[in-house]
Parts: sequence; structure tokens; C-alpha cells
Amino acid sequence: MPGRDAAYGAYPDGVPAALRTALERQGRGRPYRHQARAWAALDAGRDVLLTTGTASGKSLAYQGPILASQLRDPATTALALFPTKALAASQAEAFQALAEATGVAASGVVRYDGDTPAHRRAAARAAVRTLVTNPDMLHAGVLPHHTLWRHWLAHLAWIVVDEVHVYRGVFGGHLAGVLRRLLRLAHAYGADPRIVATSATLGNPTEHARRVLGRDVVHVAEDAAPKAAREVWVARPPLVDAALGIRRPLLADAARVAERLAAEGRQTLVFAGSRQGVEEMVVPLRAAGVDVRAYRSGLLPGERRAIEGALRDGAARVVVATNALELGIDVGGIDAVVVAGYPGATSALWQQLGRAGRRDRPGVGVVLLGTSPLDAYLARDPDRLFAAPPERALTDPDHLLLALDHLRCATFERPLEPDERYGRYGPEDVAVLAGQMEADGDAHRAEGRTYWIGSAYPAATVSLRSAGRADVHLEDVAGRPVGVVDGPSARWMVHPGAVYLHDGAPHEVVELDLAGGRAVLREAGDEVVTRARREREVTPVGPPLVRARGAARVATGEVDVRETVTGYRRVRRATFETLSRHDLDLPPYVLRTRAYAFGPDEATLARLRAQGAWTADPNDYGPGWPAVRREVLARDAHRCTACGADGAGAALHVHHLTPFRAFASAREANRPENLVTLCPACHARAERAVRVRSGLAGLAYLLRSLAPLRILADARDLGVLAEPASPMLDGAPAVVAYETVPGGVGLADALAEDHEALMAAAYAVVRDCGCEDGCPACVGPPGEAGHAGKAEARALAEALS
Amino acid sequence: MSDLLERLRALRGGDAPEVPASPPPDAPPAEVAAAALGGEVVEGASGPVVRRRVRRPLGERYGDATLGDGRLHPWLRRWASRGGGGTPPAGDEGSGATAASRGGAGRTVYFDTETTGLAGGVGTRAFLIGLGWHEGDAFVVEQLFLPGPAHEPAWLDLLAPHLEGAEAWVSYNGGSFDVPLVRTRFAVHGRSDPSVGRLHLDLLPLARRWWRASLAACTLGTVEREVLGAVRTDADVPGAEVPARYRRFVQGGDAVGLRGVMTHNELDVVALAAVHARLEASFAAGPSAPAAGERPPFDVAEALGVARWLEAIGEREEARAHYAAWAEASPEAAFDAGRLARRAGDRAAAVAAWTRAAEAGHAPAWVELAKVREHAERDPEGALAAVAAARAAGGDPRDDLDRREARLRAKRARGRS
Ligand SMILES: [Zn+2]
Ligand SMILES: [Zn+2]
Ligand SMILES: [Zn+2]
Repeated sequence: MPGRDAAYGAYPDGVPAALRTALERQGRGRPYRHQARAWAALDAGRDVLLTTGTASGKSLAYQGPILASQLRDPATTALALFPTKALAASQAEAFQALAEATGVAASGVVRYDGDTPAHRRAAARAAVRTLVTNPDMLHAGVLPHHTLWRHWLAHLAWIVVDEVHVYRGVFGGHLAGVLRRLLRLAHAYGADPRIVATSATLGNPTEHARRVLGRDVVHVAEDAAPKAAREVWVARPPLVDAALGIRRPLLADAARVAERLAAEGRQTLVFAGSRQGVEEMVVPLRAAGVDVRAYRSGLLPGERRAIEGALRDGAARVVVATNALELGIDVGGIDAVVVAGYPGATSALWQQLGRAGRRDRPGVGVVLLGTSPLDAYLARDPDRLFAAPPERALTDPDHLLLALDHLRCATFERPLEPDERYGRYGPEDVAVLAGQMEADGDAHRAEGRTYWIGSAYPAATVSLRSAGRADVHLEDVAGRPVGVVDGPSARWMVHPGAVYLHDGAPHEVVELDLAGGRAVLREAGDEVVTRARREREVTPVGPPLVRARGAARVATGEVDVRETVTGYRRVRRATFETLSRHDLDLPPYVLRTRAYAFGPDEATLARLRAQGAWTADPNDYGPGWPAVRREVLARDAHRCTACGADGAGAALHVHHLTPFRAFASAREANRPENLVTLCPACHARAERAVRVRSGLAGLAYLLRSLAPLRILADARDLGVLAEPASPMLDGAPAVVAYETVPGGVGLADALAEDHEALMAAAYAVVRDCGCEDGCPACVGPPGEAGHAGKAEARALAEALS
Repeated sequence: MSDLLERLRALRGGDAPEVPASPPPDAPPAEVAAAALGGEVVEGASGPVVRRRVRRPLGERYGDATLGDGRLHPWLRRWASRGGGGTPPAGDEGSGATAASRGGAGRTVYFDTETTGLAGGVGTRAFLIGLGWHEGDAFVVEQLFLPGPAHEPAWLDLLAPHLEGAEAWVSYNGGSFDVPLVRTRFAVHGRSDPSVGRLHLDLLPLARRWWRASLAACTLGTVEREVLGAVRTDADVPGAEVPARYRRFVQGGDAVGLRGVMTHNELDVVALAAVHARLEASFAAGPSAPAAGERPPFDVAEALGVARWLEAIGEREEARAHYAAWAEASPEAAFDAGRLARRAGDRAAAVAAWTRAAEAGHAPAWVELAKVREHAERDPEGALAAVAAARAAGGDPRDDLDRREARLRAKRARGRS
């Protein structure tokens, strides 16, 4: 990748001399063109979004205008929001240095977050001009106490939202709510701030900014900062078993690459994905005698700062980091960057690789891809990384649950006026929600206004990372807190009898009290783990929107996902041997959300059947089947053997206990002892419980991995399942993907939009995979009862692509 | 049901309480409350407020304590002007919350709030404030009850003259709760900060210093029961229930549940005056130890608390006299009397006090005697004996007896050669 020279612009007229001198002294006498453009747009009273690259000097584009306005009017105040405390610390320092260089007596750049000790907070509030904090602190620590901030709020002229791409999904909707509350209070105190945001590249930058910030922004995208040339290598660890598709461990290979780069005298930064990954890489590197430092969450601020400094001045030769370093912390240019595993989005990848290269020396980037289908897809043709359009960020600023959350907080902060709006909700809708607050016992309406009268502090009950989920608090038998899991996950992670790993230590769950939101754990031995048996049913709420897309039918719509944890197995950890099975009687969790479903249309299904590439059919049981079926129905007295229903409501089914296709012959499969009578509902449940590798299941596996191809999403945002008979498609077979956030934030509909691209990628992955019958990099490892899974998935994907 | 609510219910997984059809109250809430609580409705510019006044003769006691005369001892005045024990009102931009003593004859106002919650923040309101002051031969409690959140400006109109007309405020835990709350309420309505120019005396940190050693907790309830011997006859309302009772009144017009809250608040204000009077009495009693059987004041623990506090506010002579008065009864007091005597340069008195403490088995006093013998009296032999006695008395973990002993042995050896 070629380098480029800088392109410069000019600072706007009227920049105070003190600031101009300070910038010159910092070697920034001339701004890059994008900095000048952003500054000019802000001076013209516009809101601005910058999406230029790593180390392009985005921060000057807001620091400059803020300082200029503060030099003109010392009362002017500003807010700078950063998603992490580390980033806030690093940026506050840089901002303060520039502010002090302008010669102002008190810069008033004040960090105020969870790290600020209680006894220093009053002094911080008294000194503040530019508040540097994070959304959680603004939400729970500042806005609910706004009278203590009234001078700051009354003069608030600037809101900086850094790394706005981070605010996607629920987090984005929450940030939109926090900003609406901030602006509501600022307006009440007579201020009307401008907003300047920065972001990694996105497929939908202005749309995303409008959703999160609530403003139409001037988008400054052209990066005019100088860039060193870079050489980027994309590779995968070599295969050790081609038939099973097993490769050498990624982190060990990444460590070897880092070791070699360091041996060549290059300062090397390795991104290892997770905190655990960092630890795993540091060990072999240290063993090889490499001077390596670990940069991850959990370090003390001083330790973090020391590593950042050592990177800048070259004292640190190899640093292994989590993506905590991906965001704009200034560490200067680095010779080589190793990315161990696809970070899930091209924007993240380019932010990481953007660290490579100095002005005078070309940089080296090595991307080691892993064993997921998405990694395989990208590795096959690296142009898929280099030329791909950036992912879209999705969020819903008007999500109903979030709207209620923030209206509760807003009411606490200031009574709702009769004409108050919230996003797209007009005064009538707001009144309905106020009525709900009243019913919840938290609000009182009088003379048109709504007043908070609850005893709670609502911001403390609203987590910016989740939507409407009651958490379950874990405690030990002595009542000491151990941890927290969200309500839906609690059912399968901490059901009674579950072995739950807390900080690596196994605990057994003694009691789960869903209504009370708590679970009691006691320490357990580490020989046994448990596996929950989960049943999921996806039922549309109202008719889904179904469209023909090539050979597929694609449905989107609102659904209820009813998930029941019906039991669990105790498994010996060392051998995976099942020790015992247990039933559970837990209430189902019903998630109202949005789903995307697709499956072959009838003609395609018929063609696949004719090719022998479709074995997931429930009803091709050989010539003697009608007689055998009658015999079994009679034996079971025409009643469902599971629930006792008689055939009055719907025709009864006869079900194979061991799946039909697991037998060599129909005669063997159809022996009466392998058959039971079930009603349709129980039958559907029984079929779901049987794990058979089918083409459909293979495709579901692929979709689970490929979903983030065009959108920013991660594994916990979506649930994916293969349904032999999906109500989303009138009982036809389908792969169904649903959003795990109640109500959804637009992922399901975005996936439906990207349907063709997803199918093409899925087909390419199966087609190009060299494994024999499925592997982790295509349709998943061969299943217990499975055969022909890969061939079927390939035929199905080919037909749909 | 509206579509929006139906959707909300579905997204919440079915758990959203029904909107109750609350019966509209048959009379205006202020009148309902006034009737139930025995107060009068005062119509303000932004609506009604319920006011209730109770006078009690100053001769009346609260438990064993009097209700005092509302005057602040100069020591308390100084303490309050310095921020009252480390809990100054939440700082605000530039407005010094506690003004220096103006040594005036201004009124002292005792106050206590009942609130919609304990969380703090702009959405937490006081719905009832009880104010108490001395007037002639009576102690007057005035309670201002807010019949609905919309009437807060009127409530503040009635409250402001009381707070702004006072020279000093007295509260219990007001430093971290009631005072910031009141200031927030004034700020929310754009009014100036009533705490500016006023002294605030928070009794909680003082109560901790006086009685922490003898009480399990220093809540107002414990102090009035255990120290003042005051027993509330009516069934008391648990604090946790107060917000819910107010909500029931605001939402459903049920004021009966608030009667107990009213009484509770009134007695809290009376108790404030009584606790304050009890503190003043401990000053008035001076350093003399009590005659046998007298109560109140004091016991040793309390006397030590008073003495330590006097030392902390810089009244060293006064503190030394307190310690000395209790030296007979308490080796701890004798030791501290010696410490302050030493600090005042009176070595003879110090040695006498330490000797008294040491003979009662007080190890640190032995250590001090060892120091005196070693350095001032140049008597290593005697110092070694004192070290041995300190060891026998259990030693003092802060003092390195071994090192001291080794040094003394070396000195003794040198002295002999
Ligand atoms: Zn059944
Ligand atoms: Zn494969
Ligand atoms: Zn009270």
C-alpha cells in the first residue's frame, strides 16, 4: 500500500494569536486539509463528523475550535466524551498540554469519571471548563445532579463525541438518549451547543451520526495526513489435518511472527483480541527471551501510561495489546503490527493496521486469520479486506425500551412538560409513557407536568449496555456477591445444578430465584461441567414480510423467541463423557424481537431432493410406512405419548426416536420400538432436540459467522438456528437469525438486505474449503450422527447464491 | 390499551404493571392532608402548602435531657465555621457554604427532612421539613408539608425565611444529606443558596466522638434512647417506609399513613434540640468528674471523647484539664493528661500523670517513662526497668521495645566502662 504526502490547509481567520503560537510551537503551524475543513465548518456553526484514519490528528479538529472560543470568551465550556477511561486520560492530557501552551492560567480541562475520588469531585466541578468523561458517568453521575453543574451547562458550547462508531446497537440508542437529556438540560439553562464527532470509517457515517447525535453533520472524510507506505501480509496458520480442517494454533503462530519481526529490529505491536489472548501470547514470547509488555484492561492508569510512553519513545520493543489500544490513544508510529485473528470488522482492522509505519520508514502489517468461516472467506482473497466497503453501524435511537429508560431519567432530572417530545415520540406518546411511569409508582402527573416521585435513582437502574433485561445477581452461600448475568442468559448459565465458572473457578448453582433476581452458588470441584438443553421456538407476531430473492424466499418480521431450558447434562471435563441427565422446570423466556429467515423456494427444494442433496425431510419413510404408522398409532391409543393429546386438534405424527437417516435401511429405521406417537407440537420439539447435520444446519453455522460481513455485529447480537419447518416461511425449512436485543436495532433487516452477498460468501466458503466433511472453517465440524452435511450445505448454498 | 403500551409490555417480556385506575381524590389533596395531619392550608403563589405548628414549654424534658436554650457554645461555633467535622455541605462553585462565626445573637434553627428517597440527585425531593427554634419560654416546631410536587415553589416560599433568618442550622447528618438536598431544591427553582452566610452544625460527627465507644450505632434513634433515655411511645415509622407512604398519598389521597411520619419528624426535631442541649451540658459540667450515681453526664468514654474533640479544635489547656480530671478513673486519660502536660513543657506533671497510668498497667505510659529516664534523667538502668514493665504490660506494637532495650543495654555498658 503506497504512502502519501500531507496536504495542508489554513487555520481560519480570527484564531487567537496565543493559540496560533502554541500550535506553531507544537510543530503544527499548518493544519492538514481535513483539520482546516472541520474547523471552518464548526466556525460556520455546523455540526461535524470526521472519519479520517488513525493518527490523522482528528483531535486537533475539536481542540482548536474549543480553545479558540474559550480564549475569546473564558466562560465557554465544553464536553468531551470518550468510550473508555484510558482514552479519556490520554486525550485529556494532550488537550491540557495545548491549553496550557496558549498561556491561559487555568486550562479547566477536567477528567471526571469513576476514577475521580469523591473528595476531589467538588473541586473538579468548580474548576471545569472542558469536562472529559465517558457516557456512563455523564448518564449516572452528572445529569442527575445537574444543579451542581449549572454554570458549566449554562455555557456549554461544544459537545465532542469521540469514536462514535463504538456506539452501535443498544449502546448507540442509549447514547442518543443521554445526549437528548444533556441537550434538554442545556437548553433549559439557555445553552445550545454544537456537536463534533469522530469515527472510524463506516458504511453509513452520516446516517449513523444522525441517529446517535440527532443532528445532520458535515462529513469530513478525506484524510490529508501523511501516511507511510505499508506492506500488509494476510495469512492463516498451516493445516495440520486437511481432512478435518484443523490448523496450527493461531496465537502460537502470531507469537512466532512477532518474535521474528522483533529479531529484525522492528518495534512490534500485536493485537491479540482478548485479555486471555494477550496472556497466552506473552508466555511464549517471554520464554523466547523477547522483551514484551502486555497492554490490556485491568492495568492501573499509571501502568497503561508507562507502556504508551515506552511505545512512543521506542523503549518498548514488543507490546501485546487488546483492542483497548485500537482506539485513538497516541502511541506514535510503530514499525510492525501483527493482528492475531480478524477483529470482526474491517474498520477495526484498519485502525489496528493504521498504527504501522512512520513518516520516514514503511510499515509492515501481518494479519493472521483464524478458523471461522468469515476468517476463511477473507483469507481466500485478501481483496475482500482491502476493497470491501466498510461495515454499516446499526442502532435505534427510538427503541421503545430505551425511550422509557431515558424518559424516566429525564423526569428525575426535570419534570416533563406537556409538550415534551422524545426522538420520534410526540407529546401524545410521551404522555402514554409517562402514564406507564405513573403505573410503575415512579411518577405523578399534575397540571400537565410529570414529576418524579419514585424513591429510586433511575440512572442507576439503566445500564447503557443493555435493554430491558433484569439481571440476576450471583452470590455465594454466605450472601457475598460473586457476579452478575443477564436474565435471559441466567436460565442456561446458572440454572439449578449448573456448574458456572467464575474467574476460572467452578461453582455449582444451589438455587436460582428468577423473580428475586438472584442465584446462590457454592464452590465445586473441576472434574464436571454441565451442558444446558435449550429449546428455542421462533413464532412470527403478525404475518412476516416474505419476498422471493432468486431461488430463496426471504422473510423479515417481528417474532417471539420462546426459549426454554428443559434440562442439562453433567459431563466429565476431561473426556466429554456424559455422566447423568437432569430435567429442569424453568419458565420460558419470551423475547419479542425481529428476525430474518430464508430457505429454498419449492422448486429449488424439489430440485435439491431430486439431486439427493436434501435429507432433512421428515416424511420419506419408504413404501411400508403407511401400514407401520397405523400400527404405531393404534399401539399408542391415538394419543401423544408426550402430552397425552388425542388427535382431535391436529393430526398425530409418528416420530423416529433415532433419526430415520441414521439407519442403513428403512426396515430397520421403522421398527416399532424406534417409533412413538406425538402431537405436532411435541413432534416439533422432539425434532429440534435431535442434532442431525443437515445442509440447513451447515448453512446456519455459516450465517452465524458471516453475519458481520457488511454490518458491525458480534456473536452475542444474534441467535441463529436451522428450522426444518419454520412458521416464518409457512412451515417450509429455513435458517432463522433473530436479534437478541428486545425489539431489535435493525440487524435482522440489514441481514435481509445483504442476503445475496451473504449467500455468495457462504457458497464461496464451502466451495473453497478443502476439508472432507465439514470443519470449523466452513459448515462446522462433522456432527455425531452426521454425514453428507457439507455436500448438502454446498448444494443448498450454491442454489441460493 | 394503547399500541405503544402493548408493544412495551411485549418487549418487557410480559412484565409491565397495569396502569391502575386510581380513584380521583374527593377533596383537594392539601385539604385532605391538613385535616388528617392537623395542620392548616397556606395558599402560596404556586399552590397550597400544609403547615403545622407545635409549641412545647421549655421546662419539658426529652428523656433525661432539657431542650436547652438554642445558644451555641463558642467551641461549637468555631467547629461549625470550620466545616463541622469534615462533612461540609457539597461544595459549589465559589459559594462558601459556611460563613465564619459572626458571634451574633441570631436564631438557631433545628431542622430535619423527610424525603421521597435516599438516593440524592435532582429528582429526590423533601416532602416534609420540620423546623425548630426557641421562642420565649417555648420550643416551637413548625412543619411544612408539600401536598404535591407541583407546589414546591410555594413550599420554598414558606421555608426560605426560616432558613435565611437563622444564624445557625443544626441537623443530624445534614452535612451529607439534608443540607445538599435543601440547596439542590433551591437551585432547581433558580433561587439563591440559603446556606450562604449561615453556620451549619451537624450533630452526627459530634455524637460519634462523644458516644461511639459506648453505642452500637450513632443514629439519632440510638442516641436519644441510650444517651437521653427518651422512649418514643407511638409506633415509629421505619425510615424505609416513608417514601412509599408519601407516594400513596400523592397517587391515591391516603393521608392517614402520613400521620406517623409527621410525628416522627416532629420528634426528630425535638431530639435535635435535646442532643444539642446534652452536648452543651457536657461543656457546662466542665472537667470535673461526676459525683457517684449522677447521670447525665458522664462516663469515662464520653469524657475522653469530649477531651479529644477539645484537643482537635485546639483547646489544649481545656483538654488537658478534662484528661486530668479523669486520670484517677482511667489510665487512658492519665496517659493523655501526661502527653498534653509534656507538650505544655510541664515535665513534672507529665511524669506524675504517666506514673499514675503506668502503675495501672498502661504500657505506652511505661514507654514514655522509659524515654524520660533515658534522655532527660540519664538513667539507663531505670529506663531498662520501665522497658521491662512495658513488656510485662503487653508492650506497644508501635514502639520497638527490642531496639530500645538493646540501645539501653549498650548505654549501660558504656556507662560502666
Ligand atoms: Zn404432545
Ligand atoms: Zn471445511
Ligand atoms: Zn427524620
